Amino acid sequence: MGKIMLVLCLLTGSVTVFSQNYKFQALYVFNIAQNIQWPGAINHFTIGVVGSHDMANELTQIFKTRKLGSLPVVVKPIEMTIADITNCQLVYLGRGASSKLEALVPYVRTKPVLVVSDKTGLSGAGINMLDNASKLEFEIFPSIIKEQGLKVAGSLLNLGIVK
Amino acid sequence: MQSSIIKLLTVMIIVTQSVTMAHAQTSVPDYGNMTLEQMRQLTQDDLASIPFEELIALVKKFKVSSIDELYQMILNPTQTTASKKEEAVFNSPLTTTVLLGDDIMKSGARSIPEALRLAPGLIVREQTNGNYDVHIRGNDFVPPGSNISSAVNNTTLVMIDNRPVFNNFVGSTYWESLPIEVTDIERIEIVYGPASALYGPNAVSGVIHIITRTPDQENLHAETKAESSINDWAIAMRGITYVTPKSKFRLSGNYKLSKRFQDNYYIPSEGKTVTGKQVGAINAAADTTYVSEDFDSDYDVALEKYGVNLFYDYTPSEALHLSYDASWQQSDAQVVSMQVGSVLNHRQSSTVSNNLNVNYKDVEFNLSAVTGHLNALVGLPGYEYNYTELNTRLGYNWQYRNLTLRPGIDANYSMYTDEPYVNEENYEGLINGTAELGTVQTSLRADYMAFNRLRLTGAWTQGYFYKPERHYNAWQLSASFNLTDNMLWRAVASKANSSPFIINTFANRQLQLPADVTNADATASFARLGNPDLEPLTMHMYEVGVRNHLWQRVQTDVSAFYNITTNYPSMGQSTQINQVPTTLPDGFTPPDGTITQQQTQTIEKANNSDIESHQLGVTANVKIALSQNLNATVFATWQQTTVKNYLVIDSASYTQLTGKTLSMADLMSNPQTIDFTHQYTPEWYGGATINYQPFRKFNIASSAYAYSKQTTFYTIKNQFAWVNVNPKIIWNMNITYYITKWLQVNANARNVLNNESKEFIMTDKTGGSYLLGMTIKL
Repeated sequence: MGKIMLVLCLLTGSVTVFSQNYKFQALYVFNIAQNIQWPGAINHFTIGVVGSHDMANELTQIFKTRKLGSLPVVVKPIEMTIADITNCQLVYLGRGASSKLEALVPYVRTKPVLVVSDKTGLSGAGINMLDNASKLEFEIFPSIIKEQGLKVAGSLLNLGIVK
Repeated sequence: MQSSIIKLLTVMIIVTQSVTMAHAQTSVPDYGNMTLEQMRQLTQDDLASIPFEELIALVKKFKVSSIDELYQMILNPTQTTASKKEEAVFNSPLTTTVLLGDDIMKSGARSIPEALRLAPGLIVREQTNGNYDVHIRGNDFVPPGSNISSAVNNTTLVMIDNRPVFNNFVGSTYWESLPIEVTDIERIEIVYGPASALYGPNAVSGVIHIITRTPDQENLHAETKAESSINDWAIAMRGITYVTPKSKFRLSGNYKLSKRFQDNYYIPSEGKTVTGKQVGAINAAADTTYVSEDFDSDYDVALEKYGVNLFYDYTPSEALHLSYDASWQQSDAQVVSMQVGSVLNHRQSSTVSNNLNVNYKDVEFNLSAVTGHLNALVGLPGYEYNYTELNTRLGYNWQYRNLTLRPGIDANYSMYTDEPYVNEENYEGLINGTAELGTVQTSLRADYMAFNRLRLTGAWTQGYFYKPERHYNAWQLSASFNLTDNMLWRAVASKANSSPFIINTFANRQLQLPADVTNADATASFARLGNPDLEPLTMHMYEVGVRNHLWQRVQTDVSAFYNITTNYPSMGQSTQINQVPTTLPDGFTPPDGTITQQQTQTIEKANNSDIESHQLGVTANVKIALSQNLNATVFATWQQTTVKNYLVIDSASYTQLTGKTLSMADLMSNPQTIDFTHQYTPEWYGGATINYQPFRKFNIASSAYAYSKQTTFYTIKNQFAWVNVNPKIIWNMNITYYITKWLQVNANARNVLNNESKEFIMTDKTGGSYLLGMTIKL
């Protein structure tokens, strides 16, 4: 029975076959965040999501029952503005927003805001996701992360593509 | 069942893991060996608890499996028609093709017969715009040269959701009278070759099983599509659907109007085309009972049809599934049925059908009924009737280890009456009363898997035709062997037969012909009689095939088949000269003695002929899933058919067919039967399709269908004449643009190059159609 439903879903979903599976991307962001240290004392953690309601929903789901270390996490959809972005500890840029990363870089280069972009071939963010039909990987830019004052756990460097 | 246990185990394991996080574990979930289904069942919460390294490995495997599964879906969909249980096409013991509804829609096919051009092994010829002649593999127009009615396909069983839509009057499928349209299709499963053992008589050349969509989106949705060109208008509501956890409800409707590509008609007896206005008189001259006023309008309408369908699906538990469809349709099509004067005539149908399918564990039950009114040849008395067809099937799949046994019982009852439409006393009609036919058959199918590689199936059917009282049997044997995991060899032998049809069995039509002017005392009459002793048409088939799954993305299927068809009915004529008492006008006192008249009675009666059709052919089919959004198929059939024991009745035909000369007297005293190559079936036919979705919003589908030259003979201007159909390639293209989630438009070009050559002898030119369509989903 489940197989038939699966078949039907795949059939009707043929138009949406390109839509990204944010479920796994959100899990990756969750795991990546656990392996990075933010400087200073912060009493709450905000994740800002630009241009993807699906991603925001998935992250909200995860952080409903989980914390980062001992910190409660708030996930909110934000606009691509300097004020909004610098108020977050982690910013995820959707596909469309990722194209505008270059304009953002000067404003966050020395701020402890981990930027996760989502576009193949892009550099400028600390983490860049590569999500296509056959794989989900992420690129790490240790020099960018270091310049922002963040610390990367060694184990994370083994799991992503170091650039 | 098995997956529920695994899910339970998985959840239990994960719970254990999180509770004993601090301690060393002995029961770590084995993410490396999880199946795709198990992975799908993990919740977001489960996944968030998995260590990152293992999550990455799991996602990688999941994505690869999903792709694999998607390719499998494209290349190798599941079907239930070949063995009456669900299995992938790759594993089907018979040659099988599945066309998915979504692929049909994307290709731009406007009707079910047109959609069949996307499948290998199908010969589909357009007679008039929107009306097609469909044959599986061939054996079409045998015996040739006779009335065009033997070009009709009476050997393929077409079903909608297990309901046969085969009409028992002449024995054929009236495609325009199917109440559903392409928008209603979930998939079409085609099984090639005799399948009477599973489906009853008339599954002789194969089965075309149309399975309708089950709604899957929750709550209330509606989807409507309208598409039109200069010659065609169509609107279809795929469904107003309403879904709850246990019930699914769908209402669909369709309307179509197609105009012909010409408005004149070819008259074989005159060897020329005439205007619509002239046809009525020509037909009345050919058959004195024909009502010429009935052929007086709508010369340019090829097809007009309406349909409304209601589908209800109820699944109260995993063991029980019920589905019920009710449909109403009305149609009027100009098609080839029988040549009067013109080859084309209007056929009108109005029917209501009901269909119930019940699946309870391993038991399957189907009950279906269709009631309606059909006028198979408007204008000619005797072809209009009311009818009812009832069908029921019961089957049980009993499985023990590697053996599945399926006993089954099928019954069919048909009742046709022309009483309301003819003057029975004058024997005006064909039946002149009510005719009934019935069939009961029991069957047993065994399916055995040996060593996990060799699969043997056998089916035997014992049946009884209630009217006329005759027993019949049909059988099917197959062996399929997995040489490797990706290669399946199969061999099939089968036998099937037709059932008696109303006209052939019960015809009882008598005509008084115009008196002979040279002999005032003579009259002539003509009787067309059925023959209850007619043996049913029978086909034996032998086939070998091989399926290959190459490099994950390619699937090929090659099959070689040989079939022999016997017991073709043919009209035999005999003449009798009687002396009959003269009928005198009232009040007239006869002189001494009764006056008698000489009456010549010509009787035309269907008899089994010695004609045989032997066909040898090969079909090859390649399916390629280049990527998720690009897939293609290419298929072709080569075949050669020999007609044997064809009785030649006149010397002109004899000379043309053999190249030798024999006088008429010689032929009369020494009737000749000959063998020849049947060139009406194209030696080559096939097609190709490509579907490409470069961006999410854009889909391009291109298809081609082609066939080689066809030649047959017919009587034109009362003389033997060769008739040709030129080779043709038909290119189609459909581009769909998905503007928003709820709105899409498409540009659809059928026969893009406007190749107008006729596809069916003596019917219309069939040119290009350029349509624009729009679909709204709410």
